[in-house]
Amino acid sequence: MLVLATEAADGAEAAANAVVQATSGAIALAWLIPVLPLLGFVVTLALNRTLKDRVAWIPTAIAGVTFALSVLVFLQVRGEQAAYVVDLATFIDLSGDVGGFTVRWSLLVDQLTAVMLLVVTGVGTLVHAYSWGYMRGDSRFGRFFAYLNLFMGSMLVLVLGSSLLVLFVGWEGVGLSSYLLIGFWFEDIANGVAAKKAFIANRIGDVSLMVAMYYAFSQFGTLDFYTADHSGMLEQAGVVTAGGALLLALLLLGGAAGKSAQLPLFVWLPDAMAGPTPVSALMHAATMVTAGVYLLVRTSPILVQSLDAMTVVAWIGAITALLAALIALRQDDIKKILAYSTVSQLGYMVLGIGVGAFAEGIFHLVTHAFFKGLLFLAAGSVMHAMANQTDAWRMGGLRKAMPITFWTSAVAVLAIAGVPPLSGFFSKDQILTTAYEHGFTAIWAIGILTAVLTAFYMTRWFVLIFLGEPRWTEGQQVLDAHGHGMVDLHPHESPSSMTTPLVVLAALSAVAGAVLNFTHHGPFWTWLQPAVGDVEGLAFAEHGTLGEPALIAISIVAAAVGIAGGWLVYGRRSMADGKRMEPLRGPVAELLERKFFVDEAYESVLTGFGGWFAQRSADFDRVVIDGAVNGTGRSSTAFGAVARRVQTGLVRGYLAGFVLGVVVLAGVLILQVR
Amino acid sequence: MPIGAYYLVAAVLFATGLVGVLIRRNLIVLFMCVELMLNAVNLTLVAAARMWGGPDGQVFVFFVIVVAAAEVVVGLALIVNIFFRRGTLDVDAQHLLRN
Amino acid sequence: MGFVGEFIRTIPDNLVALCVAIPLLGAVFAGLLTESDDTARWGALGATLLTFVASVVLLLDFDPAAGVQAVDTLPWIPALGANLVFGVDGISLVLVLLTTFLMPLIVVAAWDHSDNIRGYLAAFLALEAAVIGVFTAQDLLVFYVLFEFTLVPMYLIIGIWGGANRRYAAIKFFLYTLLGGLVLLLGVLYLYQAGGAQSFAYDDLVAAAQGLTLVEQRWLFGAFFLAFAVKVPLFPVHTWLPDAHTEAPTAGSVFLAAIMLKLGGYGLVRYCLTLFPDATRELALGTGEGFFSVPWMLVLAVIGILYGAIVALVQPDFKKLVAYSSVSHMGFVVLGIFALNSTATSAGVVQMVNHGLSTGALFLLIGFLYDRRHTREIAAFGGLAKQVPIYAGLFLVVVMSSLALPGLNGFVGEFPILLGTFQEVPWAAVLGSFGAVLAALYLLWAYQRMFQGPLEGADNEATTDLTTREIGIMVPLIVLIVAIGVYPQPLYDLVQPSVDGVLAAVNGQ
Repeated sequence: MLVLATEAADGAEAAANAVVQATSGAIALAWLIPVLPLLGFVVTLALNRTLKDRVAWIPTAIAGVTFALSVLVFLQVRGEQAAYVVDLATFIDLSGDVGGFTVRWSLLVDQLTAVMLLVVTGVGTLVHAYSWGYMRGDSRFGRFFAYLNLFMGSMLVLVLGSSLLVLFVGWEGVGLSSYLLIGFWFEDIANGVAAKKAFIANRIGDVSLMVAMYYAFSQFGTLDFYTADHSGMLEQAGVVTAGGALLLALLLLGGAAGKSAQLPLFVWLPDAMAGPTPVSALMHAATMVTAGVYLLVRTSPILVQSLDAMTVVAWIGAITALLAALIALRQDDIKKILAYSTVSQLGYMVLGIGVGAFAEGIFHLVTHAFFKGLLFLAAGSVMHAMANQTDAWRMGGLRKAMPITFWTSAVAVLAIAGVPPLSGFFSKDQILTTAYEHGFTAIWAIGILTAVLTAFYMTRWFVLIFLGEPRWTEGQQVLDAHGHGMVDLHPHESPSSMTTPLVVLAALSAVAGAVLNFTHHGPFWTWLQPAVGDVEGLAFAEHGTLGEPALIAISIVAAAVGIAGGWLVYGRRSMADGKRMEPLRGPVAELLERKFFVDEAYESVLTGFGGWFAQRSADFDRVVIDGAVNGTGRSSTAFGAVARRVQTGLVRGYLAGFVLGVVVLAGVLILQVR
Repeated sequence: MPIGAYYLVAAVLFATGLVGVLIRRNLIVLFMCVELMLNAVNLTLVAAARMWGGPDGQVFVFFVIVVAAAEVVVGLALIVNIFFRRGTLDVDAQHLLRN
Repeated sequence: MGFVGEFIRTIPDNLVALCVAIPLLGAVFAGLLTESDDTARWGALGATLLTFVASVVLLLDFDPAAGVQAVDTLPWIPALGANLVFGVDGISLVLVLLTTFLMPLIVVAAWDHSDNIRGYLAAFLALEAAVIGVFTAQDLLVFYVLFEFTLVPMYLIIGIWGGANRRYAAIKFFLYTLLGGLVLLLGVLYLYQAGGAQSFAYDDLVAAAQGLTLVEQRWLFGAFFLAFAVKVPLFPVHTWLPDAHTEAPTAGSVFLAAIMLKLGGYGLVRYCLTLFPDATRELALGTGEGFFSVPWMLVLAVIGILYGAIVALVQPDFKKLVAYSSVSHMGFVVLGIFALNSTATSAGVVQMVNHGLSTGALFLLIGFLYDRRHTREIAAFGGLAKQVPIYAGLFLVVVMSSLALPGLNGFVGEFPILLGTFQEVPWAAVLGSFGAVLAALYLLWAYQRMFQGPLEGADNEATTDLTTREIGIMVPLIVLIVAIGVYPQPLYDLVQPSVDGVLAAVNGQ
């Protein structure tokens, strides 16, 4: 288990990290961590045809090796208050004679990186293992693992990059792997559309992030986070004006909103569930979507320059969390419920960052990776048993058929609902406590409300799948949702390659919270402090009179109310009649089920107005601009038609004209000479 | 003899040729008038060359004579052909270039 | 033997002239001297490979810091003071290398062309000679003549070997570029006269241009700019490009997009900037008064980026889509060039190479598909990723390069362009960045319609995957696309010192 260094955990005010060039130990080899999976991607694709399905051993082994390396790196970072820079090679060096843009391929390893490394490679390895069972029999088995390795490599570049630009390389790389994996079953055009949607929504956020880089470069003259000579952008964050910090922070938030599915760019994530379920677990729950959170925490020394910026971040997170939780109340697709739940939980993390709870945000990121990864893998296990169907109303009573999935899911549901002593309770409660203590009372209240809703919809999810009487019959003929035609339904527990990761993640979901950070400013929090922004100097608003015990009590009550409510509505009565048993009807239910019509609004603006505008532009190009060109051509022809009347074909006429011309020219010449 | 005299003769020759080209309608006469103009130019060139004592003008005249000879060959051939085909040498009757 | 030995000894001193001469001789050989199609093919391939080797040797001896070097001078029209002077600096060299690298691939791609293959290859080799001449000319008259000469073979390639509507496209292409060229000629002559230059040598003309008034500079800038803007092409003089691309045969499209458009960008950097520095500063950065307080060049570039991308969205023909995407991508190049700082302008030059590689690759790929299906309508395809996985994979790599995915070559040009531009005129960089979103939109939408979804229709089911020869053509391109994306520094090392020299001239240092 993670045991943190005592010298860092003594609770003393943490000083900033010393920045040193790494020359020895595991950190000097940290470049292998992203490079191996990227190589694995290429090699796997190259050998895919020769080795057939056996090729998947390569990427799986590489995932394991990167995890081992990450552990070694973590162990080296653990005891020291230092950020290590591993300089590898030139990327773009335009310093020249006059000074220009320069960035190097180099890695930054500090506490924050180490945490992310463990999460990415740890969950990544489990998902590789799980996929052996889940993807078995797929015609593109090897390619799936290659893409998984591409994702891991890119994500590791993202978390290891020592500058905004190297981070951005990984950032876009995970976008590409997300595109490939969401559209993995591209035979169904809907999957291709979802993949494209994800890529485009991310790109819109990326523009914001790119502009942030231009602006940061104009202010700091570098995109490096930290450098050995203290000239990194985060070390000189204080040189920007308050307005500049606000602008930069909002631009960074724009980037994070794309990748981490915050308002107004969250629409791609639920559609991304079109990808295979291990992908949903790894990328669209545990790791990739947390990249935006990582970005904001990484650049938190800039955020703390502007309280206004932090307030905006907090509100974006809070509204996203609430909105997504409301939508999740009335979804029927077991993966979509989890997707909206992910959006909501990411909202919590962003909210946390906004209120200055940077380490708490990362803490929630870690615990969320465990329990949400687990929930998705459990959902995958259920789909595996149910001919890949995802409609919760066709399930029910699966408890007996798949006990391991049932029990591990129960742990995850309680964890995400915030029931002590499971991990979600600690991380969520610590974010909300900080929000309250930093004077963001309204946001704290929204957080509590969202916690109630979370407990409610997760209970609904759990009850509809596992409890009550089955809404299916053994041996029933159903249409397999992944295009395997009609199959007989025989729900069964998944193979051990799938259940083992479930058990591991369940254990982590259960204990990680208490072990890492039992009290609010526990070892995890203290250890991370040197790597995140310092909120000491910020003039937070006065907070209310509630003490920490009261706040904890309110959190627990919120979870209890949500679970009880969910149980009362869905658990106590028979749900045998399916969807008709939903309690709430009318316009409000409609609004929730149709997701507040956000998709429709985007649809009409983008494909409606956008398509119209593009078509008009093309017409403009053809009719006006090209028309002008062709018009010139036509008018020349018309001029020629007039001009040719002069050409009578009479030789003497030409001659007379010629002589006349010569005489005139000669006259002009003579006059000019004079 | 002053150079002006040569120029005067050349000018008279040239003007004769030019007027002939403009007012006569017979192709053969037209052709002879063109030759007259060419030779007027030749005369000018030779005279000028003599005055300056340089060879350029004389060389130029040889070129003109050679080209004129070639032109006569082609031109007469064309005229003969036109006469055989159309039975007349009146230039105003020839407007094949029209349209 | 003595003669041969003498000749071989002079080779290292005349590499640039060789780069022009070898393809020219190849053109004569393939077009006139041989009767056999096969001999012509191998001859053409040999000539292009030899040229490539010559240019690589040139690269090995190149010293980025030394300015124009490897100069070859042959007397041409002494009365006008015009000489055939060729030489390379960093900017020239990368574009020459792009040309010589792509030419063998183009020849191989044209291998199975059945209709008068000898003339076809000869036209391409003549084009190569002319284009390399343009990139290396150190005499404005030579530059002008070769710049115009490139029209002839390309006109023939489109007009003889093109598609159904080839006449219209060829004439449009010819008139457009000729018109720009004539204005350029007027500008060149005025510059020669008014400045009282002794010759058309580049250095003499730069000296002559010192004496121009600001008003003269503006007019001359306009004349030069128009000629180059047509070639780039920049909005609103771009409409020849989509027609030329759709009608041109595959190899012609590749050459046109990958190499010929660069003549415009090269002309801007080499001539507009250095000859008319005051007018350049005014028009590029809006430092003047009234009309000249608007950065017009950047405005045009940004319009090009966004307009090209928006129009590309709704093109039903994939070649037209790529043609409009070229308008958009070359807008980035112009943006970088006229941002007038070391970062952006260097990146603008490098982006020309990147655009050459990725758009060239895209046209090659669509050509392969056209050979099989005889259509380029996006709607005619669907679900092809299942049927032709290798093709689909390579296609996606090139698409990603074209939409500037980091790690591939498009990004390492586009990003520094925008970052550098932001330091001068922030809004231009911000607006330009949206070109990246639109690029993703039109390319991925097209990819989705062509490659994803169910495989339906007999034509789609009968489409075969790439042959070994076709994969062989693509592999060098893909390798370079990735290599430049990860390690672009060698290109920047070549380009930046020369660009800094140009910018020093612009800023009057």
